[in-house]
Amino acid sequence: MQDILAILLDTLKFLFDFTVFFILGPGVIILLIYRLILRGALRRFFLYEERDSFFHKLDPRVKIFWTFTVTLLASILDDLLILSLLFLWVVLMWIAAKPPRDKLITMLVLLLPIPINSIFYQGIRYGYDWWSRSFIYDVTPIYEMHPGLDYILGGHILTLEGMYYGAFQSLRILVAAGSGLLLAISTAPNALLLGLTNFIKRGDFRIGVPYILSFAVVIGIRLIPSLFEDANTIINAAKVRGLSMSPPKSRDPRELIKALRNAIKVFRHMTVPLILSSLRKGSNMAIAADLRAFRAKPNRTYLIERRLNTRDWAYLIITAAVFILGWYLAYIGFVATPGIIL
Amino acid sequence: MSREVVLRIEDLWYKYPFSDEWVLKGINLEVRKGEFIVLTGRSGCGKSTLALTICGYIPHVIDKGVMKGRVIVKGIDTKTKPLHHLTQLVGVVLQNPEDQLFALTVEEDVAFGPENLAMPKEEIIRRVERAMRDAGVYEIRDRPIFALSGGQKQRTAIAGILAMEPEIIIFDEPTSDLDPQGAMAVLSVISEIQRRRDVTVILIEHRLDEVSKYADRVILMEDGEIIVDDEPHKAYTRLNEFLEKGVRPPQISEAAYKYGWRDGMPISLEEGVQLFKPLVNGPVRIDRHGTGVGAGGRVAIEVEDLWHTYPNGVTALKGVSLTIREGEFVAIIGRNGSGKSTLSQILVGLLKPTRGTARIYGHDVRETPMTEIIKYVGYVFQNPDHQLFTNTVEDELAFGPRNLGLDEEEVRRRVEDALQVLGLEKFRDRHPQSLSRGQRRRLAVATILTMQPKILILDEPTTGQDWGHSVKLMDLAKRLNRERGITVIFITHDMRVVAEYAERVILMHNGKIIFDGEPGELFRSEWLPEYDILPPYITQLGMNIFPDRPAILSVEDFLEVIRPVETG
Repeated sequence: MQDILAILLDTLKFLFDFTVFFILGPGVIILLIYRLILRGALRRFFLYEERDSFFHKLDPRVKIFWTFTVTLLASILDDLLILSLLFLWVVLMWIAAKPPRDKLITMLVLLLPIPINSIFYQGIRYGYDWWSRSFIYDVTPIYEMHPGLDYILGGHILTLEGMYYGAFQSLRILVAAGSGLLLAISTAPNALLLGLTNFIKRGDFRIGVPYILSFAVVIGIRLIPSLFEDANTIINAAKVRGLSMSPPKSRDPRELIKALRNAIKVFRHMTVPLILSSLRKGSNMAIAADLRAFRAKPNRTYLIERRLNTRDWAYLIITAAVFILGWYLAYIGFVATPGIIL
Repeated sequence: MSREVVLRIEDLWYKYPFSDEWVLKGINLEVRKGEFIVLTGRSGCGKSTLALTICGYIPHVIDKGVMKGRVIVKGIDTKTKPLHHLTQLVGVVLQNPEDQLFALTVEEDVAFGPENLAMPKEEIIRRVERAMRDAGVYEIRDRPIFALSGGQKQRTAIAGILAMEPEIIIFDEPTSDLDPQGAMAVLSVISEIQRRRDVTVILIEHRLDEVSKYADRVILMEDGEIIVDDEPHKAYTRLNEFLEKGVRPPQISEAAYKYGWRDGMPISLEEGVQLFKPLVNGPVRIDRHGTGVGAGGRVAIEVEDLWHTYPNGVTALKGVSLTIREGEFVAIIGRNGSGKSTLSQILVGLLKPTRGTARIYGHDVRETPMTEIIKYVGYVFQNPDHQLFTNTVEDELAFGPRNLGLDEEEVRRRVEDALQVLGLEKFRDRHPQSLSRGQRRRLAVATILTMQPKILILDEPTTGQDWGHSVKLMDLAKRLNRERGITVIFITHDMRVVAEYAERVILMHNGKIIFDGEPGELFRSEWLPEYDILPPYITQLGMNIFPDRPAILSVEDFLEVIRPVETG
């Protein structure tokens, strides 16, 4: 009898842990992103909006250099204080860019999975040797899940050290992703293109990304809103044919699973029409670009050539100083151990 | 004195890579400097392929197909010069303005071509400024592209091509994706450019009513061949050939042809008045009308003080109220952004009202789950490619009924019924994406029919389609309306379709209903120009000749009226 009870409890624990950590956790994140798509927020997020802010007015090249600097330093430096300061700098710039509320919420939903994912997975895998089922460091267990989850998640004991390490690592990614997203939403695609291509330009002398490459990147960014628009129409077309797409109306796990199943079904069905429509659009854009002599000459000219003003120079100098300081800190030993474990 | 030949096509044949069919079959054509050519034909007849061979995209980019014959532009065989050289001789404006704009602002976009050609900055400035002025976008040169209307975007695309200063400009259905306001502005810019710059224009178009008056020649293509190539007054003497090939000739010419006129067809309103006015002697038939508003069925849709505000703060509906009865055939018209789509999306449950109520057969859309609403309302989207998901036509038709939880026997019954009604039986095992566009469009309607809705909403059913396909689809909607009593609501910019099919028309503007009544009454309203609505040409002709008579809505109506009543 006791054996049966133990098996039953064990099974229940497995089901509970499996549902909470494998289904509900990722499920909530998927649903949040999915809700953003439904509300058209993701589409609007990538649609450039001119705003009267300090960050918007900076020259794109300065912004690119800033993004590069904070991303690089966050990758090479290995000190919580330094990483926190870099993260704070990114947060301050987000505040300075005065993003509209819906863009801010979208940004949070997009970035939130990074720390959650990193803290959770580092929390169970940090120092854990899967083959011997033991830890190679001294760790402080916080919660022990069903050992069966080892086979699904690669670990089952959530440790304090692992979570700390995960939080630390996620700071690096948050700095990179946060600064990158800020650059994307605060810079007009064409200005970004010019910035990437003519990073330094004096007469015929030019240092920058090849024009074709940066053009492809910018067109990619420009296509994102219409991609979401198409996705939205396809989802609506599925809805009018009875594929219920609403988020769960109650916290009942069965409702949640049903909603997830439907979401997966819709994503599966939208693939073909979405790919076809993107290919068609891409092909039309390629024709239009070729018919306007795209790639005709190796050194194209530009109607607008931007010059740095005092504010750009000031921000550039500050960023450059931080860049040099960062390298110096790396030189004296604040270097990160190579490899980021996700 | 005849002018220099700028384009000569000699026995041109073309087939695409991996295809066995010739898309162009022995085309011979000669075009002189400054000519305005209207090129027409049903979808898939080879018009766009011909355009791509003239500008050199074929064979320079699509280089794996088989091309025979020669295309000579300004004495240069297109095969012998690189594409970027040819772009300065032939410019092409495509259908969708969104696909041909690459920069942030109007000015920067117009500069894209000259920049690619590495022109000196002074030359770029000169070309860009001139092009913006000629295309009518100079005043909006600093505006970001995403803030422009469809018509402004297309004019920006035109300016981008003008900045390349080509000798020949091909416009490939440049007004298909635009509302009437945008389309009118674009057509007037095209004719102005041709006059001012003395360039050769080849305009690929279905709207022959609007463009024939500009044309020096009208060319009709069918199945890769040129069937008619003549001055418009002469070309339309072969009007039956246009109709047979699924192309709708100008209504004025059609009326004259069907009246029996064969000598120099009228192509404009003025010419129509000149021809028909002297023919009217004595009394004429006075009325013949549709079934009238709300033929007395049950209330299908009831909307009261409906408001809708989007999350970005735009209020698309501002207190709309209306009642639609079972069996009505209703058109909703208005400029882009007037609230047409928002209203129809609320009716199918895709959007919820911010304020006010909308009831479908008594069910409040705010409180009724969408899975219930769609049992009453079917919605066919504009683009069929956005609504076909599965691997076979049969599965596609079964998709909706299965989602409704119907048993397999009922699903099969509905699938068979839809296949038969829409004439799709022989395609049942085909992949939906392998069908032609017209067939895909029919399939999209069929997928909704299997849901057996009482109300069918069609979102711009004729946009981007040739007349043949448009007629087939609208005839189908009419048949479903007559035979099955389905209430049909269609959103459209096409006034000919409104005149010929709708029994009731609702005009929306800035989120409000401005007019709700019969098409004839609408077309007689003096305030129409304020909303950029141009009645069909036959209606205008009728109003001109019979100022006191109710509006004439079709060529057939006109012919019936113009023939004198036998008084003896």
